[in-house]
Amino acid sequence: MIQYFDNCATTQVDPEVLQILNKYHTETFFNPSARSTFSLKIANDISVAREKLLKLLGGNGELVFTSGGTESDNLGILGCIRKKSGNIVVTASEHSAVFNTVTSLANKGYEIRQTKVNSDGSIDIDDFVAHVDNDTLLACFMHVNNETGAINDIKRINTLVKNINPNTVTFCDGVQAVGKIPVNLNYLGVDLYTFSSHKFHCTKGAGALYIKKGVRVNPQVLGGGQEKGIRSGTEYVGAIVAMAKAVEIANSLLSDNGYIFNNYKNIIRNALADIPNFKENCVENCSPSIMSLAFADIKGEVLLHMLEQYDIVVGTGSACSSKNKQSRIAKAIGLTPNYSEGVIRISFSKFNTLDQVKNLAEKLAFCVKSLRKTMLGK
Amino acid sequence: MQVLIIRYSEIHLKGNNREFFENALITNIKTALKGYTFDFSRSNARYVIRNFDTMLLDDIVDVVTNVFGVHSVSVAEEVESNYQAISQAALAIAPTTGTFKVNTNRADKRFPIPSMKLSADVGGDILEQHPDLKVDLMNPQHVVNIDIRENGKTFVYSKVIKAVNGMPVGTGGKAVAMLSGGIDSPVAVYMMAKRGMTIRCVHFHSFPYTSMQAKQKVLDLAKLVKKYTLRMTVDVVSFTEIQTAIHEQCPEDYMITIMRRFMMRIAEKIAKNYGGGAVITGESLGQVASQTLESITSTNSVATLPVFRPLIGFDKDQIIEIAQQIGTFETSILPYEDCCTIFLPKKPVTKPRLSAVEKIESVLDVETLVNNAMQTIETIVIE
Repeated sequence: MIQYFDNCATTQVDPEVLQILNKYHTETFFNPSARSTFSLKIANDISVAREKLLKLLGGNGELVFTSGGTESDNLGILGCIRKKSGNIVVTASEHSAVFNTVTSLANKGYEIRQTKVNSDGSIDIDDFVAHVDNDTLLACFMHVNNETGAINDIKRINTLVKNINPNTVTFCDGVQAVGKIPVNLNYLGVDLYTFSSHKFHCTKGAGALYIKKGVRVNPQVLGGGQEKGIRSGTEYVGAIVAMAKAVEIANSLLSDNGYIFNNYKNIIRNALADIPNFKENCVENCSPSIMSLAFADIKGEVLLHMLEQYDIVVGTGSACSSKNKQSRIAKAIGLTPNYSEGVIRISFSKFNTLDQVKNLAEKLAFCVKSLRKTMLGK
Repeated sequence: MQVLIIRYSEIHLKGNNREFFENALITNIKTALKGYTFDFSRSNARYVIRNFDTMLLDDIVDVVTNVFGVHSVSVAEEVESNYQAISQAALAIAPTTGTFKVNTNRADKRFPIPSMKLSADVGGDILEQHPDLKVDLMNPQHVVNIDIRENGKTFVYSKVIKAVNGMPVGTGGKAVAMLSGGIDSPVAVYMMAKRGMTIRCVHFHSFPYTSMQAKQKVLDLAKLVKKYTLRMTVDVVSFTEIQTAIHEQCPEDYMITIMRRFMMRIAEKIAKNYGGGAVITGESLGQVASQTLESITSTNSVATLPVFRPLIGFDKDQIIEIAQQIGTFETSILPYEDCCTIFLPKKPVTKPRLSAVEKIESVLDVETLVNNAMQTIETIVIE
């Protein structure tokens, strides 16, 4: 059986969540916008799910359902820019869905300001805030760094940005946060917040954009006017209802998992204790479910494939494998070239067992040693 | 009725072997058109395809013009051999502006109007309809061709679409080509298939040092060149044991030279196993360290079969141009590492002396390593 430790990439659908999905695919599959009474009931299911999600995430704004994280990011970023000129502040460690969407605005004449990140992948808040001024239209940051697991102090960043320019729209990518760490949207205070359902044991193809009260987002997709006209297209009802269930389950496990996953990390740390020249990219204020490791003088992708031979799946620090290109994030967190290629990302889920983690720890140590021997030893 | 006329290239030069070449070409055209419905017939020095779905005409033309041995094709209207039908068909395809001429070939001498007169009369009909046109017999912009066949039918067409030429695949012997995933090797396969070779590919894979995506990329490339080779099988060889053995036991700067020698030995073994008579590589002289005369000498010395290097005298630009033309370039440049880039020495030897290479290599148990690698072969038939 495959031992899956790449839960930042995607997760296995929870059986309970799958039941909901199945029901909406085969029994109550009606179009929520149609006129029949059955459809009305479905439309109501969406409303209930929306309310439930807002409650679970502690927000009193709008929740717009989309096809996933990338679409939510695009909708929020492109949809909130109203002025013809100005600047956008973004951290160098953003996910491509945010980073590339923001940088695409450079072609339309907006100034893009990239800010520094700390060596653990967290945002250098002072640097970030220093880039915000009266002309800042949008400030983009992420809740949990998808490569290192660093948790950012979103409330603080948001407050500091708003102190400088209350008109700046604050956008937060919460894809690696929802269902993995506690999220309270009212407390965080951001204007826009995005998440993706397949990251917390629900299906691929669904996500949402949270819009704080009073913030306006222009639609990027036109059509039948669903989702209050902000995102047209027939709603993926099953996924929406299932998503609410999935967040409910995930939230109920948050504190237990935090404890369990940190224990998993310790098991791995112990197994690697006698291995020199490696670093854990983020230790303090790190998402319990993410462990990012950088090994000097070996390639993360090779290590990944070696582990695959034991049916163990992990992620690499970057999806970028081109020969000369260093990962944007590896570079941003200041990894030196001999470390930057040797990054792997282990990300846990509730389906991992203690035995699996022990096995992973043992195989990981073995693979690193043998790979180093092959690559360096003569 | 709309038909496709196919003309073949230099195979008409072949005397007693002509039947062999023609049979291969016909089989290849039919293989390439697998999945389409059509009727195929042989006529004098050409083939005619009839009764196909005219909505798929462009696809069929694309397929046929890429079959080696085909010289050109024309989309023609096939009509009864009588003046009215011929004139009508000619008018339908006639240009409306510029210069033109009508060209008649009267294979059926029973047709009552002589060629010159028929051309003049039909030309007159066209001019009457399109007074802006001018006749130019020497250097016309458009030609309306009338081909009166012996069977009482006539082809009327204007355009002659150039095809790839070359020799029919299957008439030039069998070979094994090394397919790396780069830009050059698919082009080399294309070039030798163009000379009629039946080609099978070998790919060296170093899992876990190279990814499955790298292997998939090679299979994707194999599928792309199958358009020209018509059939394609890839033997994927695990090269990990050999590479780690070389890395552990030989000096770093000789890594690539010795690797290439192993690849050549294995490629040749595979070739011999299935009756192949040559090995094909995408080497281009001086392109990289392993492609200097000295490196090629080192690699070549382990081969007993002829090694064809169709790109040896090509510039990279020229190779890229062909890769783009045959549709492999975009896939070739996908950034997955092939086995040549791992353990890449900082400074590979560019002028290895054969005696030195042999001495360095002698620490390895070459025969066992090659035999072990042969055991790992995964044969993949590209559908």
